Amino acid sequence: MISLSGVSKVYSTGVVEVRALHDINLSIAAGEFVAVTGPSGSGKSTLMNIIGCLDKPTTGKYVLAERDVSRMTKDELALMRSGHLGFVFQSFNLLPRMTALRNVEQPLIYAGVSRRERRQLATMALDRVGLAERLYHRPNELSGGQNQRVALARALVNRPKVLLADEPTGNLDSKSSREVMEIFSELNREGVTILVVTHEEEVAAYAKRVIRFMDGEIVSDIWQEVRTR
Amino acid sequence: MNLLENLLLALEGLWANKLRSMLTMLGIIIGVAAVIVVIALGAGGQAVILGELEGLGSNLIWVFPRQDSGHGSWDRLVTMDNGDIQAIEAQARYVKAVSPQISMQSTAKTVKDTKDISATGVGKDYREIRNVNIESGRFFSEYDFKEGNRVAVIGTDVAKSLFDSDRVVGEVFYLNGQQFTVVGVIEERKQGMGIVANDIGNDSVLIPYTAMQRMTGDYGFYLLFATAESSEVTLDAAKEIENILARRHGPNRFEVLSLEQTIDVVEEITSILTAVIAGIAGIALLVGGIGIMNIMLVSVTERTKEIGIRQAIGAKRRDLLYQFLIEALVLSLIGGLLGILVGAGLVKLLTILLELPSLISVSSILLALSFSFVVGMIFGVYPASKASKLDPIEALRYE
Repeated sequence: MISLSGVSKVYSTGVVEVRALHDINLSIAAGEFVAVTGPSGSGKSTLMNIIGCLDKPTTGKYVLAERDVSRMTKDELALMRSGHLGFVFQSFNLLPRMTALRNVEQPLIYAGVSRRERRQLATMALDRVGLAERLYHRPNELSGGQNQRVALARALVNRPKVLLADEPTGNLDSKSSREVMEIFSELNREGVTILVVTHEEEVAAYAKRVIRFMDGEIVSDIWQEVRTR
Repeated sequence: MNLLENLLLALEGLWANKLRSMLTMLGIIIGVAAVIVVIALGAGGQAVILGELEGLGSNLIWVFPRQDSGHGSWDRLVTMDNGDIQAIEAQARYVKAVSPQISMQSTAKTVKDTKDISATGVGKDYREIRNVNIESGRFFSEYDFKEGNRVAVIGTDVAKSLFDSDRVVGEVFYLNGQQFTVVGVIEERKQGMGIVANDIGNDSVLIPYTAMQRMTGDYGFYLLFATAESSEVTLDAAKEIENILARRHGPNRFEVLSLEQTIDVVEEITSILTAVIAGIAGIALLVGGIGIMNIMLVSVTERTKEIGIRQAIGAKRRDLLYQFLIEALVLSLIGGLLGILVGAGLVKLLTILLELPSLISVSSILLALSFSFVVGMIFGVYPASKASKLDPIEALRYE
């Protein structure tokens, strides 16, 4: 599903060159649940941006769903995001003026889904995360946990093959965190590939595979027993 | 990309910032309203002036002494005389009819009332030249002119104020002490605004010019009307009159004007005026457009995060370009529509106050709308393209 070979990312800010990723070789198969950990500045966010087709590697090759992403144009990248990827952010990143339903409908607009089908799919996605009763609430009328579940519904409404989450529980209490992580686990059991960037042990415990970053390099890549309920 | 969805987004966005949207639209509203008002008033004013000019009579030519012929003094202006009338009647091939017009401030008196009026001495062709329709009675006869009979043809307002009876033909009144008999009444006319001087109206009192000359002892006159045989020869007829008068009085003593020339001049002047003022109003639209661009740039910056989110969930550059462009267009078109409403309201008010015909043309509305569309387009493209080119990672990181 995901294959990076010799991927490096260098940011140049004037005179100083910052090497965010250094010669990463990484392969993630369909259906894996991967946690990416490491201190801040270790390159894990850069990795997520590249895997998420938001950024391009400086050198190296990235193949997603059998397509070489590394040389794609911006619009081709947008199509990859629309067709294969779902994002969950630490700060939810919902559109504040819109109801939960319309927030979840947004990705479908860019995927060219008809109005009626959009409504249907978005309602289903919200039902999936247990918010069938909250369709017409706006983000400021919902709790943090509920907002993150709306964001999850938005990420999965396009039926993405890969779900990318950057500190998805960073702004949540422990109960909400568990609820959100349970949904990730369920989705993974249904075959969705999941990548979670986290520094919380609790969260990493849900993953089958934990990759640890340090200074732009992978320092460990461990398969672990999945925590069961 | 989904147009309806974008329209909805734009309207929501504008509604969320009601005051700001309103202030942004104000420039467009004022510009469009100004364009509508200026064009409507220009057209209305032109219609009024032209209507009055055409009401003077068709293929009309008028002659008056040049201001400089008397070396600055009105008393010494060269005047025309009865000999000129006869010469024109005899010699001008393209002139169908000719008549002097002499005015005299006078007092009309009956048992019922005394009234200050301007009596007008006219020639025998005057009725034909100036389209004077007689409602009852008759116009003057050859005999009246020859003898200088003291007879009068009066307007309906004068008839009402001087006499009690509806049947005024045959009644007598005193004009500066001289007894006159009413022989005819002029058909009631819709009054113009009096922009054009020498108009025949409901307050006119016409008498044979020979009678007036006898009363005043002054045989010269300052104004002469003529009609050309047809509209094609109006200029030729004017030239003939000019030549005849030049022979009799010397060159360039008189101004000979035709209605056609005057209409052309009026049309030209009002069109130029309208264009100039509409151009100034257009500058208001331009300023409005700059306001839109300014606010759209602010909006793009404020919504950097939203742009990043949209990019993450699959928005292509074109999607974002359209979203912001449509928002700018909605802003300018709503402004345009409000401007049309405001402009139409102002025109309505002004036409009532100034008693002008209301002339809001469909073309001026279309012009205003298309102008505001173009303004929205031009000034919306740059902010929209800026939005579409944002880097997704930086946009997402923006707080």
